[in-house]
Amino acid sequence: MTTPLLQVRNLGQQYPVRRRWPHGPEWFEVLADVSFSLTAGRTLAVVGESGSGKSTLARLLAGVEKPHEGKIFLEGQEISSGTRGRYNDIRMIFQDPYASLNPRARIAAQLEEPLINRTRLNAPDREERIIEALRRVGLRREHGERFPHMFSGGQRQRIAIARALILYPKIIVADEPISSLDVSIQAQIINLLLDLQEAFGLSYVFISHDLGVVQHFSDEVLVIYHGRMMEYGSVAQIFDNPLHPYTQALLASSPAYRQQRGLSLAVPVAYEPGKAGKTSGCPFQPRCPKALLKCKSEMPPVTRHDQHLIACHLIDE
Amino acid sequence: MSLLHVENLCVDYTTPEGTVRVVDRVSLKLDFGEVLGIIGESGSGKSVLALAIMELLSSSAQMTADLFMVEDQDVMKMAPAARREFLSSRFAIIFQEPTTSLNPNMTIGRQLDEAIRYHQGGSRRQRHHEAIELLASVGLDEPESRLRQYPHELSGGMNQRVMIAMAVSCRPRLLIADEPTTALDVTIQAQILDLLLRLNRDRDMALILITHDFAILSETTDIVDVMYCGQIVESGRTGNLLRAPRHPYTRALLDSVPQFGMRHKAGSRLFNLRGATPPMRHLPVGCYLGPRCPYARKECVETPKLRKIKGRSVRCHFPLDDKDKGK
Repeated sequence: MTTPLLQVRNLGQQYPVRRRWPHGPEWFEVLADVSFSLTAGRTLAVVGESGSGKSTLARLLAGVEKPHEGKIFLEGQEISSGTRGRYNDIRMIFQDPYASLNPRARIAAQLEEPLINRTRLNAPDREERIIEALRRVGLRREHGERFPHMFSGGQRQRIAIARALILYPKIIVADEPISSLDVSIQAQIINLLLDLQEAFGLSYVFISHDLGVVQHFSDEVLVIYHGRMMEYGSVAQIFDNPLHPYTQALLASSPAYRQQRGLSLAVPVAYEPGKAGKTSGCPFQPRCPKALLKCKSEMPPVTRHDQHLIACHLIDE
Repeated sequence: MSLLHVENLCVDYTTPEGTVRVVDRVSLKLDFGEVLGIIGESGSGKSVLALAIMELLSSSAQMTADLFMVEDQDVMKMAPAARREFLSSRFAIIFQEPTTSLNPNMTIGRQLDEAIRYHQGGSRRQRHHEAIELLASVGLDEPESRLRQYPHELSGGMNQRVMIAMAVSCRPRLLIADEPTTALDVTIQAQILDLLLRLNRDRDMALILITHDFAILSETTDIVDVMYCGQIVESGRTGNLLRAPRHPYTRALLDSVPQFGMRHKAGSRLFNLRGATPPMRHLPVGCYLGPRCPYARKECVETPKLRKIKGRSVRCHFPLDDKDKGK
């Protein structure tokens, strides 16, 4: 078996919550025990509600933060311990391109920055790269001379993609790249990302809550809830045969899915997602329509079932 | 008698560069208890239209209409203050981001009480009971203790429920929901839509649902208006319109969203319109969709009129047939 491009093992992250002196900070677990692997040229979608740890996962993968637990391997080499150089291969796109671009710098200057910091290219080569990157995302050379506010939302996202692309990465981590855009522009950006994937053999970690887009765009799906892996499998497995009650609830709350399956607008899960308390059981248990007694006390282990990885007690029943 | 009847409503904004028409001759007719969906991308004028109906436009905006009837009373003949009073007792509106609509410095109870006092009056005790009842009717648990909480203590979905409670406190005949679920999680989105539909049924309250998501409209609305650049480009019964869109823009909107079951294979792409929505200040000549439209011909430099075709209004020179499967 070949080594997968990206491998994540038992990744966990916790943030301190400050408490009044003399107590030390309390640690709040935002991500725990997440494992997956990604092969070259494929797309992994991470879905979950807000607060589920999707963005934390993205930040860990991009090296913005160091994980508290677990390891990240890129082509078999561990990167989570801090070999910054490897992060040339993993780049990130954010939700709001206007917030992630510097409003006071010209586009070309912003695209040049990673080249100056991370490569040894000389000025003419850098300029060539910039023009190439702009062309790849459907912009022209003269766009480089403009400022972010002169562009529309879709174009700004194209610039953000160009900036991610400019170091020729192997993986792009896209954190809700289309959710701030209009529908017709969303389609443009999705198509652009797919074109780039084919042209460069890129892999994506695609974070989204739009299940329609996820099932169109990705090859594998990881469902997380309160930082815990709920279900992980291929698109076909997750969407045709969701096994975890949370995945089922998530799908049933998508209008397009209800339409296709002929479901009614029944409220899929009873409660609002609360703050994740310290629970030894399954985090989804308070909202789960099928919860068992032991769901409250025991976190279900991740087990393999029918090619899915799933964390649920019900599966053994 | 219809609840709301508007003919040729226009909204113009005065800017230093001249006036810009943001809502262009929109006509609506809504019956009691009916659910109307308005769909369009950002900048299509759908929110401004909602604000115009509510008489909530800013002072730089100028609203004109050939006809603006509410329950057979001519709203255009009323003085501004009387008009606002009249509309606010019959119509209510909720917005996209509930946390920004609520005052962070006031408890839920005080904010709700303000609305009840304005619309219904009554003693403190009566208002308190009314507030509890309203919160319970929008599906908040422990309504009594919620009254003492502040918006930041509640989740987005709960805040949206509070907004809905405030909106229905005047027992409105019409609730305008301007992207009520866009800022919320998918599971909460379904709950809020379910709540709005329940209020629509139980209170016989008409609903205008403004959104950019066709999938939401399919299961909630009776009629859909599609807006582009301030104009209604297509209007019809929801089922018909979704099954066989006649305007290229409607078709494009439907096709740019991936269908369930249509998975990406190498080479398969979503349909996407060229370019972006033009700025309202520099609209193209003729049909506003013209430069982006895959079906455009030279006749499209003429401005198309809204025409009736088989129970549907379409603003297009070359409306699509049922056979057209998109380009």
